[in-house]
Amino acid sequence: MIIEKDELTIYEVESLYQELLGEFESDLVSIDMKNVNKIDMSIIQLFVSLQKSCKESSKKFELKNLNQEVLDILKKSACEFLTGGDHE
Amino acid sequence: MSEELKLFCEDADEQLSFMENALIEMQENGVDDESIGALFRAMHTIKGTAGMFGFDSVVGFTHIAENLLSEVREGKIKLKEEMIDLFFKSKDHAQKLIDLAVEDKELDEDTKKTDDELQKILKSMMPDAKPTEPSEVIIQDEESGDEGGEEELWHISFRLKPHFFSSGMDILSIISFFSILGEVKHLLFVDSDIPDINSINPTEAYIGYEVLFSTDAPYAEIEEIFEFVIDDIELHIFKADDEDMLEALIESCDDKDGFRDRLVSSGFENVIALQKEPLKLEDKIEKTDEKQEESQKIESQKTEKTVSVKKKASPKSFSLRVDSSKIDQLINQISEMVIANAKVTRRADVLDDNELDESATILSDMLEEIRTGVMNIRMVQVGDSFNKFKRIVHDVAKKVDKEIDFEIIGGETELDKMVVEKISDPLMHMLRNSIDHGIEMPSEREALGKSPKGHVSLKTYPDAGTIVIEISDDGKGLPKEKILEKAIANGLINENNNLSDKDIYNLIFAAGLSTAESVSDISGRGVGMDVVKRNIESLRGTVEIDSKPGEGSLFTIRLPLTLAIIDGFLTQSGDTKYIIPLEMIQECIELDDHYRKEMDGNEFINLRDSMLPLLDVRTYFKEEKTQSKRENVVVVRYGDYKIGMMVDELFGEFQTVIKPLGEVFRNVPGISGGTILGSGEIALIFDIPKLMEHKIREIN
Repeated sequence: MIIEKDELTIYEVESLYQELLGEFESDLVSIDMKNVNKIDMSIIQLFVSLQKSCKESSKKFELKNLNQEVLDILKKSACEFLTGGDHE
Repeated sequence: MSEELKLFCEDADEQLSFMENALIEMQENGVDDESIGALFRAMHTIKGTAGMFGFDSVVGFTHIAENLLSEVREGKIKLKEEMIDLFFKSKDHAQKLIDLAVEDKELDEDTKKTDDELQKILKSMMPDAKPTEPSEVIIQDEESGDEGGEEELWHISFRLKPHFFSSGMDILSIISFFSILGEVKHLLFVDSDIPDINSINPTEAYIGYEVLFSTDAPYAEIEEIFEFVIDDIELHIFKADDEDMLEALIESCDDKDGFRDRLVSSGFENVIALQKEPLKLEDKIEKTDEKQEESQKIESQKTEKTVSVKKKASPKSFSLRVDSSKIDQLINQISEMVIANAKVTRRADVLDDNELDESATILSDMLEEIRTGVMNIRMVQVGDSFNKFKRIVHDVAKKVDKEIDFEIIGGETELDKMVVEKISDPLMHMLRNSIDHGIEMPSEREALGKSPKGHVSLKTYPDAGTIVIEISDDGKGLPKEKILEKAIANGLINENNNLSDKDIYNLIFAAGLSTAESVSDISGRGVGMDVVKRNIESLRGTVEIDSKPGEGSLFTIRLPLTLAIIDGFLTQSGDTKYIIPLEMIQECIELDDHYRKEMDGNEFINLRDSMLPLLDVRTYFKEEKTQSKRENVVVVRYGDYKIGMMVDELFGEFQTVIKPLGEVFRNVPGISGGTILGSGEIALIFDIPKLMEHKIREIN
């Protein structure tokens, strides 16, 4: 699944949630973030939920093609574990 | 610029304006607690909000200014006159830092230098400052840190309440703020409460953070980091080595062991230390009882904190910040409703339907009330904005070595905010001119028998549906001869002109005409007064000058109260309908045979023993002759002048939505706009000041 939006914030969280629910149906939940330059805490929380759910369902989770801005946000929020795939 | 950043800029502007007003107030009326409080609040608020955006330079500077103001507020330092100047400079510098931060620019050399100098002075005024040379102060600060206090390790634990995301605050900004106050040793993201993907409500918050934080800042300052989100989180702050509090925190978790393990694996040395010293059995029993107390203590502390923060944040009056474009949109919609209602009213007339007519009248009254209400939202007291001129006058006077007694009269007069903003630059220019060129040097004034202190006033008052702003000075007056010479030299007029004094004075509004002997950085470049006039006219306003040699000058600006909808009076001349702004109308009279006889071919009538010049609208606008049996005169007043507008028909009051006439008709003399009538016809709105100017010129 490729995210087309440039920014993912609380304003986009509900529509993204619906898309992720669909994505969760498959065994490999892969989210391509190449277009995304900004995320906020509501999105991070949603990704953490998805990552946890994937682990519980033995599904593969990956957040790929993260640009430096998004990586910095994950670092700042102590959520770098999201880049490592499955939830610890 | 993002919405949040725009809000930050607006808020910072407002705070700095409060600060400036407070400083001016103290300069004029002495130091008082309220003004000191305003200074402190401005620096404190800007520091807090700038921290949210990571504007370190702003936070660093305002933090130091805030510290000094805190000491002043607590009465540890007396605020002296030289400190007022220092805080004026600090206010300007804070503005500069904000501008650079918002534009994402590095500090230039000059700003860095000012920043260093101001910080040194501010710090040197602190009660515990050592009397050292400025350079030594810096070295000492670098070595010992800002406050010189002991670094301590704090444990901060917070959980976002479910509604947190809808508060509009970003918790990442709060986290960023930590690094300004100290060093985050460890940061743990608490995700144990996040539900699985099928159960989560994505707009609710389930997360929290544990922070091990090293800082020399006191408890209260750490707590201030959370000032803007205090109602939206559950917060515990305690010393990292407070074992009881730490135990109580861990005990409050559902998964105590899991939580403890995560803290340990994240390197929280206080938790690791706690594990190394397991409690003895008897201690544990005692602790269990105490834990209950501790959690109650945390809860009660939290409540107290919330209450105290709420108390602090409680404003004097409630205000709501609304994007002005939303109000403009509302006004536009009301304008369209006014036009639609005019159609209904007309239809009721055509159908001779009394019930429909009555409903349309009620609707019309209600629309008028809504319109007034919405217009009032845009109205602001001019004093709030004009107070900044005190500072400008003070600075300009200092620069040109003159003494000025500056007075603002009628600051409570209300005017559309947009008009106030747009009139600000022209007024500033005119005030500078008055001080630079109008007011004489103190010695010169004394020699003329005047007070060495020049007087400049800015007076505002409502008059006949307009707002009048007068700038007056008791200086030397405008140099009539020089203006004439210059205008002739520039080819603006020829030598055989027959201009009145007012016409000559008005020449200063011509482009490129400056009579100043020397060009200063304050005024005198001849590029200004023409722009001033153009700006005023763009607001549908007018400007007049009156001047007396040796006595001073008076600039009178007249501005319309509103720019969108006015109460008009509908008339007709020939085949065209015209609107006259209702507030300018004094009376309507019928031009009967008695008056016609008196006129004897002239365009004057004797109205209760005074001569009233008449403007025949039909002739002026070259209208076709009509067979109307009756002719009417609408007496209008603008400023000191009155004229009678000769029209054929009078229809009465009409709510008028001002519509621009477009490029082709924009410069039709005597017409300021158009409006749409209920029938769909267009009515033209008279530009009364312009028509009056024409008539007066014709008489002269």
